[in-house]
Amino acid sequence: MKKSLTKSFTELPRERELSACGIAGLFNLDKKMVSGEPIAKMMATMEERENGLGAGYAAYGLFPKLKEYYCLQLIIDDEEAKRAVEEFLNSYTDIVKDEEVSVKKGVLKEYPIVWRFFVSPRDEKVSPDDTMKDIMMHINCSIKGAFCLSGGKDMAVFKGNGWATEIAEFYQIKDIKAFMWSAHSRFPTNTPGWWGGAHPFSLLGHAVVHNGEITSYGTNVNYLKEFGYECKLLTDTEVLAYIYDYIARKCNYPEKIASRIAMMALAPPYWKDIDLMTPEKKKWATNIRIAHRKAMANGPFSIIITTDMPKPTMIGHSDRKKLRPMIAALSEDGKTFYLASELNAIHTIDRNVKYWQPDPGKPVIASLGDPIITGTKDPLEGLELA
Amino acid sequence: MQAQDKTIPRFKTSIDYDKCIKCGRCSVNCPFGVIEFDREQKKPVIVDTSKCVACQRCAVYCPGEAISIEEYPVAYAPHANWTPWHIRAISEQARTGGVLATGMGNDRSYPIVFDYLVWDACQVTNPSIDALREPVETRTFLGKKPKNLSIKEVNGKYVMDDIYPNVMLSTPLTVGHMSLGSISYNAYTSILRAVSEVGTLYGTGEGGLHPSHQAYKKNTISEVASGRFGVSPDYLYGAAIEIKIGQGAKPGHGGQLPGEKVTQLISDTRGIPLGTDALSPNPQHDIYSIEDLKTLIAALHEATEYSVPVGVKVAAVNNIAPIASGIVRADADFITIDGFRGSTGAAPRVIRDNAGIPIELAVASVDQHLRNEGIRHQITLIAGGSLRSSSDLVKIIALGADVGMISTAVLVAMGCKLCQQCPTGKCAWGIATGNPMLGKRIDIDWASKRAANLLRSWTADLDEVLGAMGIDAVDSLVGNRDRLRYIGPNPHEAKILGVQHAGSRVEIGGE
Amino acid sequence: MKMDQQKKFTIDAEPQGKKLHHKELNEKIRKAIKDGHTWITLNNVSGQRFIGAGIKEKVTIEVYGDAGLDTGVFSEGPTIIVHGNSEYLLGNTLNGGELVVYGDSWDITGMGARSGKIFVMGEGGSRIGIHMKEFKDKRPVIVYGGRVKQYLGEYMAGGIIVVLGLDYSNAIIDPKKPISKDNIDPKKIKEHQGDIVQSYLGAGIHGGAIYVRGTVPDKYLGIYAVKEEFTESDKETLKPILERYSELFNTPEDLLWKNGYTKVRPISSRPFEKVYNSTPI
Repeated sequence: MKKSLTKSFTELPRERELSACGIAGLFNLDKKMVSGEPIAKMMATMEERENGLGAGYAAYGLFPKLKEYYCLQLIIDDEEAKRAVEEFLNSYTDIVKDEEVSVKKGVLKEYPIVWRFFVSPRDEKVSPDDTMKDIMMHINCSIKGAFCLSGGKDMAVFKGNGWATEIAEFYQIKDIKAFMWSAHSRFPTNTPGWWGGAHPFSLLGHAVVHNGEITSYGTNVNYLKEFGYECKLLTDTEVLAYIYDYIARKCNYPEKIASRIAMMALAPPYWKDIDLMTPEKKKWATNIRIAHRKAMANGPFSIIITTDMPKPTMIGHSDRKKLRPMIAALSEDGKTFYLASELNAIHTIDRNVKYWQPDPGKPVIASLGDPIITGTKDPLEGLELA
Repeated sequence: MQAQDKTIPRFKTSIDYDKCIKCGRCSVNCPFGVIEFDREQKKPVIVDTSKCVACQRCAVYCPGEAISIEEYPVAYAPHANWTPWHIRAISEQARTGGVLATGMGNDRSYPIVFDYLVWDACQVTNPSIDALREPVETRTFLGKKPKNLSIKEVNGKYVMDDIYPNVMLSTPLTVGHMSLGSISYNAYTSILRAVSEVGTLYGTGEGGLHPSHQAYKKNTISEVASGRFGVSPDYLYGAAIEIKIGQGAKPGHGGQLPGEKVTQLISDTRGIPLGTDALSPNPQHDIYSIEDLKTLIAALHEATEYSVPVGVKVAAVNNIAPIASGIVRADADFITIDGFRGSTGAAPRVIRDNAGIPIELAVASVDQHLRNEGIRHQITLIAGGSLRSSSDLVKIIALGADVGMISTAVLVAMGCKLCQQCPTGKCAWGIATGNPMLGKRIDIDWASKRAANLLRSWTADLDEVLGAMGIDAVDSLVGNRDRLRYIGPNPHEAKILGVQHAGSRVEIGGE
Repeated sequence: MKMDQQKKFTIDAEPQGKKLHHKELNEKIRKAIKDGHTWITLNNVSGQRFIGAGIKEKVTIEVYGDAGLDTGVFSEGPTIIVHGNSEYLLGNTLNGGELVVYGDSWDITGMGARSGKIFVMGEGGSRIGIHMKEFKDKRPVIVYGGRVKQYLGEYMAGGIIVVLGLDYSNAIIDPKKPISKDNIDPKKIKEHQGDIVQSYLGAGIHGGAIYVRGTVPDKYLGIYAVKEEFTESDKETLKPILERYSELFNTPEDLLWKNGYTKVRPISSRPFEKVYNSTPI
């Protein structure tokens, strides 16, 4: 395990990153475990979208025996940083187990230590989720040489610098089984060595993969800061993950509709369309826009959000001018839900899917046990509102 | 007046009789007594060029382009310290012993921060938007915003509680407070008509709303200032209420509409006798501290049954950031900040020219401070004083304001030439005057169209800029300093503004 | 309206020992008015603010207990009778109606009042009646039974302020009961010894008049306030006001007229006219 790296893989950037990307998601709606092979294949199909400077995978359902503990999956530059992380975690959490994440040698020329800790936060005054959020932010911003790739329960993120196929091989994705997967490959405009800049970007049980560039970045960052989210990683994806966490989790909206409200805030209907809504719906849409005005993400984006809070859910969403691509699909038996930048990525796995293109600015939401919200009607459709 | 009392005239007005058609329009139009029509010679003559204020009325109305106005060609002995301006000021002070009063905004040559800022546009990594063909939204709501909505599930039905009252504006641009009295009835009516056509608001100023203007009530912000003129229960039901603590042109100073301007019209509107001075005390005497402000806000909420947003207008001063924070905590629904270049109908020159800070720095500092306190999202922040162009509007929004407020620009649209003679009431353009004969010079149809066009033009400019930035709703420009860059001489200023230097992408964060 | 024609309604401002917030109390008052009640009694009031704020209806609101800040603020119609004290800013920006306090009310009473009448039986504080104004038939009136402090009628632009300098501290028949007309013994009302007004009286006054029972030393006059002879016409002006005061507080009219009045008025309607010089430089 002793290593001496020629560069840091964890040092935060000083400039904001811009990148284009390919994204994909695969969700077994029966919660059956699926190997990482198909999702890796989906990414390989879309290799034209990347330039070999970053890729990653998020997987859910990894640790059935330890699923009540938060799994902090980290990249670490050296032993000293690892000791610092352990020391820090020991003072705020009980470490139940920790282990090295096995990686394949010979795939990447140089790479950091990948390590995971299963922890349970001790502070009972603050919600465990909020404590974990703060712990992740502290490690990423303040512990030199360490960076959290993910920190949710029963899930982990595997990412790094390289082509999607390389990263899949490095982490041996095909040997990992999960019921929900998302993946990302990247085309950044510059070439930082920082692995944290790859997607999925994860906070608690959420993981976000993202294609596009947020033109509202400054406004969003300022908004989030008011609620305790420090955007130190300087990526658009970080901002999207925090907006999702703030609205879908922190605002205490009813569980069943929290994701829909978050998505409406992110890409709200145009005023022109709101003006034509029924009075109840108009009130809802107007108030969501007024209350979460600065949570609106402007500029081109398509995103896949996966989360286990409150239950496994996969969301596909795009900006309201539909400037980035997104296709949704359902297997013939209705058991597997797919999202991808390009249809061919889905067809590579299953030629018999029923696929569709969601409308601009309307979210596709697949939540375990609920009918799929298809993204072809407005997100409040079907709800009785007052 | 003795000869020694005289100063050299500021301007030299002359008539080129080769071009003059002797129609006399210039003499009719000059309210300052510079040109008179000589009946014997049957031609206009310059009778006192020392009274010329360069308002250009005579020159504009001369059909033969026969009139020229130039700086008076008498040199002052060069002195970089004792400028002609200082000499003139001392001469006037020595003559009367009084306080020099003036109108409009600060005319001294301080650096203008707006001119050190440029903004970003989309290239390659994201697309710009064609604002003419695709939607770009400028709709903005004025009022308090909740941190989050209150939604409950009741028997499978989702119930959302109402939020605080919010007023819809079609554009993040309002017209600032100019009372009836400080400007003429026609000018006032023109602005009311313009804002109601465009779908935005005009501040009533201190002095109530004239009975004939009731139809425009929902396009007005009712000002409650220290004089409480015209403040009746009905008056409070405009679109919003604004407690005026201060004005950018004269922080810490109240106001006085001199008796000669209190005509029948003003008397009826303000509810005071004809010809008396209408005085607005320097402080609001029910506000001696921040908890008193909370009390007045609560009283206004109570008097309007919590149906009208109540805001507070303050001048940009040194401690504007904590002051704004106090105003939010005093339960205001919006804050209006007026920068030190803001205008006035009348103010002591010494105050207008020296008190307060630039609006750009004030907004940057307030926005940052309120965010640090976690209360920025609650409040609507209106900023003015002075926005000279649509680019100033874009910049002030990107620095952190929700809404820009303009007044001088609207007056210029209606003919104002910034001669700064507002306190004299002799405005040649019929704007800053209570004289009904002069006031008639504003044709309401014409002026309202010009004012509305100005608001539309700036909104269209905003659309274009947003489109080029790849932003399709102005909401995403508010406080988006990431899209601004600084090209001025002072890195410390950039830091206060929270804006990176042009060419840099390194995040510096605000102070 | 005669008492027996009034439609009465009572509100407990502290039901089950829990003090109502001013918002709740005013909601109840407005609802009672909407329901057609014309005489609303508020019991157990203890400092709730803004009682009757912005109300335009000509109803009577009777307050038992101490009314809070800004009683009657912005209101235009109601008669508000407080059987107790009222905090600062009584009748702030008053537009009409009548406010009566059977007790004390301190600073800034009737600020910017445009119409209406305010009668306070007891003591007053600073800046009473500042910036009151009058217009046509709208002529606000403030009467203080006791003494007042500095800046009385500062910036005053119209209306009438009367200070009587009477002492009711021994005249309350049953101190355990709320003070009302029937609880005042007219024979035990005394006159305060010494000055009943203080400095800066009428500073910057440019309209209206201030009447002080007895004499006012010159040292108390504020800038541009001057004393003027009390004439028959002034007597005519004061007569209905004092009659009403006498009726409200069971105070003999003879006592009210005793010692005569000092009238303070503005030196001109535009005292600061020459301060500003608009000559361009």
